Amino acid sequence: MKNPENLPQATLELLVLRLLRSGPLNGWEMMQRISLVSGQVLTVTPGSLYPALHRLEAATFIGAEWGASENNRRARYYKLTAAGRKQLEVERQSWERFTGAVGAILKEA
Amino acid sequence: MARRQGTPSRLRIRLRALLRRGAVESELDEELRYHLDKLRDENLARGMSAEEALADARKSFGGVEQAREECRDARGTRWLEDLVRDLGYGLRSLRRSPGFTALVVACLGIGIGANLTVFSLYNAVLLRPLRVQDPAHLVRFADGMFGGVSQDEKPDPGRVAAYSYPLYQHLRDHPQVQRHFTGLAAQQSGNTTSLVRWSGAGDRGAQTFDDDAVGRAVSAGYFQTLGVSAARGRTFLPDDETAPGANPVLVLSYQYWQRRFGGDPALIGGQLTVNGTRYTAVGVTAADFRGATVGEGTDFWVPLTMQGELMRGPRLLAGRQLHWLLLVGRRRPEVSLPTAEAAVNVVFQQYLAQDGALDQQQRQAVRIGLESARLGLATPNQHTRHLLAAVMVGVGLFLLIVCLNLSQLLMARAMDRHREMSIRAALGAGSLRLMRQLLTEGLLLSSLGLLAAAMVARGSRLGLVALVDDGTPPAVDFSADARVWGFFAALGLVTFIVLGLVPASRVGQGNLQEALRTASRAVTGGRARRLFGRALLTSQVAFSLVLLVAAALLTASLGRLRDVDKGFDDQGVLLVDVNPRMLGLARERLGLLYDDILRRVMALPGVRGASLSQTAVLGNCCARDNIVMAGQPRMRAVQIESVTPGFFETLGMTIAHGRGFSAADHDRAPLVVIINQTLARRLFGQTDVVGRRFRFEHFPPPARGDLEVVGVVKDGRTRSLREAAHPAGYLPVAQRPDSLGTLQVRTDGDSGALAADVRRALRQAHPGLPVAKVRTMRTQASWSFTSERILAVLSSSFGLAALLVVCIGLYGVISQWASQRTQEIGVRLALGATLAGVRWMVLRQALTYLLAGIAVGLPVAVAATRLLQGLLFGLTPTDPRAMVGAVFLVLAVASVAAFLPARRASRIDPMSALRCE
Repeated sequence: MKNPENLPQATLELLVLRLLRSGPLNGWEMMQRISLVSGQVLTVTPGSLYPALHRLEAATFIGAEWGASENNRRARYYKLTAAGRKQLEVERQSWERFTGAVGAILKEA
Repeated sequence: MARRQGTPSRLRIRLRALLRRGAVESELDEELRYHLDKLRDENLARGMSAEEALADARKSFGGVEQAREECRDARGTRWLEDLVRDLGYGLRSLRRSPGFTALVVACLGIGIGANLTVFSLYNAVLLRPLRVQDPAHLVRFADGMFGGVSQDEKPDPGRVAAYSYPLYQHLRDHPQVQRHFTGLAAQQSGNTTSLVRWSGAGDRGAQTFDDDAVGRAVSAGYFQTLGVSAARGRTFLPDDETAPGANPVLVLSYQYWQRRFGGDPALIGGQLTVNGTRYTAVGVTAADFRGATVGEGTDFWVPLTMQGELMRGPRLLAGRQLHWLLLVGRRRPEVSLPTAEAAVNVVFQQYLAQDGALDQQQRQAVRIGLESARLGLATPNQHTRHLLAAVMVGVGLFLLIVCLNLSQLLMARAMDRHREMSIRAALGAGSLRLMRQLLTEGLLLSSLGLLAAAMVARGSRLGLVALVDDGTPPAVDFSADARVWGFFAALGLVTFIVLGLVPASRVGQGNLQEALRTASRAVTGGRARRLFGRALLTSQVAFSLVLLVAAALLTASLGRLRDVDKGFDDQGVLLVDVNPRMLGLARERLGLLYDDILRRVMALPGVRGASLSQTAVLGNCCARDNIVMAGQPRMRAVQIESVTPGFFETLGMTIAHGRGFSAADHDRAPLVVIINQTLARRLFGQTDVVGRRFRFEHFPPPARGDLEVVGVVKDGRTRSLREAAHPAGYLPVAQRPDSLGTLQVRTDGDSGALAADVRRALRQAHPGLPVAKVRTMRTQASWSFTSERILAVLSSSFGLAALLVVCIGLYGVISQWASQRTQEIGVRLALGATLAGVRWMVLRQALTYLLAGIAVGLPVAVAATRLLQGLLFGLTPTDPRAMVGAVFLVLAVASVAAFLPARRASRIDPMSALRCE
């Protein structure tokens, strides 16, 4: 087993918001997606993903609905709300500022 | 995939989390299970067996419970959800141990309830300002006056002195005084018990009713100065104080109006006859006004100019040397008390100089002292203050013991629940969460306790009112105010700290893993915890010892007071208060009435003797006069009493020298006096002084010469059982005519049985004669130690209750100690220890606690019982017998409590004890 990067909470929330921009997903799908897209560099544990989802839901950035999954089982699907869309933009910009600044220092120094 | 559009608001999410908790939880369950199932399915697809697949899924998921907890936290309503759940859980857990809950609630109910009751009394008597507008600027004119009522040799500091009407007028009308005061009012210094006659609707139409009530003459500006408004009608106006006898108007107290007239509005403007004079009732005072002096209720007020009619006596208004008024002023807000006092004294000195009754030197010695009258016109005396303070400390101590005991109980409970807590901790409950659980339980317990306390306080407050009720208008207002509620809240907080915070603070300290590992063995806790427990028990023993020492002292004191040599015989004597003055008879007719009363009463079967006197023995004291003898300092405030000839025989007082009075001491015979031994010694330096002569300052008139001492009566405690005899002189009523107020009847058997006969005889002597209290001398005597009896009963009950609480604590600690040593005891028994040896081993443990407590408690008791100094009669606060008695009681009773677990320990079967591990 590889040694996966442990995601800070804020980063995880940013990723969740970004993933949901393309459409509703349930928790399981989100984990698959993160693992797949990051080339298995980033791994998320259920122990941190689900609390993050509930936090975002309580903050009304995402909404939750029960829907049928591929093999017709009930699963909880999350989708981005209008507030979440704004929040994603805010957090994306601040992330870019941050990584840009760190990158600049790494280059220059 | 049908998905609803629209965003649920933050509030909706929270409300749903709170109100539909079950649904939200099961959704969370389903969501997490879905994930687990996915993991398992993936594993199955890789070819694992079903069991392997499940186990691996669990492993890669991580802590399911932890994730669940964090999701709950994420909802943001966690604290409220937890509170609701904790309350439910707490209630269940309290219901599971009803004995524990009942004990805690009962202890708190009694402990806090008693404190609340005593505090509301303390508050009513010593803390609560008068229920008038702006009481802070009221000023009473205190001591410093020459003569007047402060004739005692050593007047109480702060005692209110009395003033004459001319002096009051002079002060009231002086511009200098008016510059400093917005008003200056006067009231008669005591109440006048009066006969009120009124007509009303009875069972058979209009009827006339007679009623005893207490009235008081006051100046016209009285209510305005005090800041008391009228609830109905009006209070007095300046026009109500014009000329003696010319102002027949009266104001009723709200309580009297309600109590006697049912709050009938038709009474306002109606007519009432008081002591034979018709008055118009012009108004009713505000409902919360209970008079200007705490403890002295008044039913109605009349203007000062009606004093002669009210008292049915001589008019006092004009007398420059008659000091019968209490003065109260309202100083202007910008004027300080010392400034006002200086101004008043300038005017006072001018008055004295004009008056000319005192010489320059005497004038310089007198001064009017002003004091704040925020709390009333008279401060409760030292005795009352001591009494209330002592009771306050006593019940406070009791509550302390209860709290210590409850802490200990809760600690023991916490240890019992150690495993439960450990398991919950292992299942993912944070230690904060556990603490909150314990806090909630504490909150529940203390709420229940406070509820019980409020009920106890309500009940005992009613009891207190009944206890204080002696037929006079209720003058003490016990009702709760901000101070009482504040006190209640403070007690509630303390209780919550003891019941909630103490056990909760222990959660963080316990080592949970260790507790789980040693699950099968009793958890004994650390050394610090054991020490803490010991300290709790020891201090309970110590404090209960203090209470018991106080109880022993007060009970012994009551006994001494009961058995004190009174100097008269209190068996078989009936006392009847009569008020012949109200009949308005001339002096000769009054004398004949006295003779008639005595003749009729003596004729009753079973009566051995009867007499009349001015005042009742052990009742309110009598007239006083000074004695001036050449070559001796002026002797002040000698008690004088006019009596009929049979007085000493009826009361069973012994004439030590000379003779008693007889019919031969009539008004034309030489004037005679009988004095007590104390007065004889003070005047002449010896007791056998028959034939010597002296005179009082105001009696007899100079033309009649001196009084001849014809007898010396043995000293007796006729005024107060607490005090040795004061100098006293007795005069035959025929020679010093006065209105006599008490009939004494000596009977053969039970004097109480004769009450009806005596009343009938009095009615036959004069049908209109007001007859008030009828009681036996024993009852009268018991009234004079009411406060001692209350103290003795209270301190004994609280002392014994505290001892019981301590026994419960001791029993618990020793039982636990013994059960932790079951094995050790088993080994000892197996090795041949005797039953007695094992019992002694357990008892010895209890004794160390007890002796430690006693060692701490005795010095505390010595220090604390000093508070009782002023309340004890005939013994000192450090009376060794009380100390030894209390120590013995604690040792005896507590040893019994410790013996039960000791006996149980000695019955352990050694084999099963050894096997039990």
